[in-house]
Amino acid sequence: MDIQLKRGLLDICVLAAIKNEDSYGYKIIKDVKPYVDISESTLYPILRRLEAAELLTVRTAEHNGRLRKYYRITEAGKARIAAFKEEWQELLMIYGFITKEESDDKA
Amino acid sequence: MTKLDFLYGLRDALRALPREDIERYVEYYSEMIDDRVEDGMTESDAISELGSIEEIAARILGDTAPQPSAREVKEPKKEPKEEKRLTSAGTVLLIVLGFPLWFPLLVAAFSVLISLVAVLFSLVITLWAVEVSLWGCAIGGLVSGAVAFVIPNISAGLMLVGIALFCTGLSVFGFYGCKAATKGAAWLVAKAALAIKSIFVHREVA
Repeated sequence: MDIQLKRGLLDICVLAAIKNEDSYGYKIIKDVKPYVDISESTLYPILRRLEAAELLTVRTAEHNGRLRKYYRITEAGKARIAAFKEEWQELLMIYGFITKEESDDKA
Repeated sequence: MTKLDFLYGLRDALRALPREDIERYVEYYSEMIDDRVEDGMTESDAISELGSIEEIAARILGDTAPQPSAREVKEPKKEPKEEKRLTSAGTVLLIVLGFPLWFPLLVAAFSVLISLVAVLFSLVITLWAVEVSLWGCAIGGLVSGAVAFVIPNISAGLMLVGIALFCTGLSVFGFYGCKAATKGAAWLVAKAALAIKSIFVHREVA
């Protein structure tokens, strides 16, 4: 997949992974990986970016005698997902336009 | 490679970054290894799945490379703010501690100002009093002059009317003088009030 397109999608995917309950780094990767390829080094800047944009908050909690960072979606983060759903309609129209060109070429 | 080796190597590879950032990355990758081990992997498998330290470091440094300039721009902005906060805290402390000193001084300065304004306005009031008494003299002189002509005491009447006319003339000049003096005093007070206000407003802004 195109890197720019994937990058934008990954932000939404990470938000979607914490949409229903708080999650932590490894779990986010496990949840997102079946759909979009994501690695630890890819996730880190995304988390930092989303945190800076206040789309998620970070808290550190103890887990099995060590510290683990948990990520929680904010209202702005939920709004970002909602906005993406709307953008998707536009994308579908663009897709329609692109495929129409193709069928015209063939004809 | 053990987790400790990996984290040590990562720390070393990232040494160009600010200390705070290095700690964040080390914490992050440490958590990732622990979670993989908890998920049933061996430590060495968990580490090898993360990729080589060189790859990870190159990626991190590549990601953060454009940021240092942005950070450099941001930080100087932050520092003056903190400095300002400190000095303003110090200023507040000085103001509180210096209260016994500056408050009487302020009261004294204020009363001096008030008395200056009072002196100015009493001068104006005096001028107006002179003006009013000139009107009084003019009217009184005319009336008593008229009475003196009727009595008849022509010389006294002439003198009284003469004084009355003289007072009328003076009062006409005096009226403009008084008006100018009142305007001048009001202007001076307004100007002084503005000057004092600008001192305080300026201090608040700074």
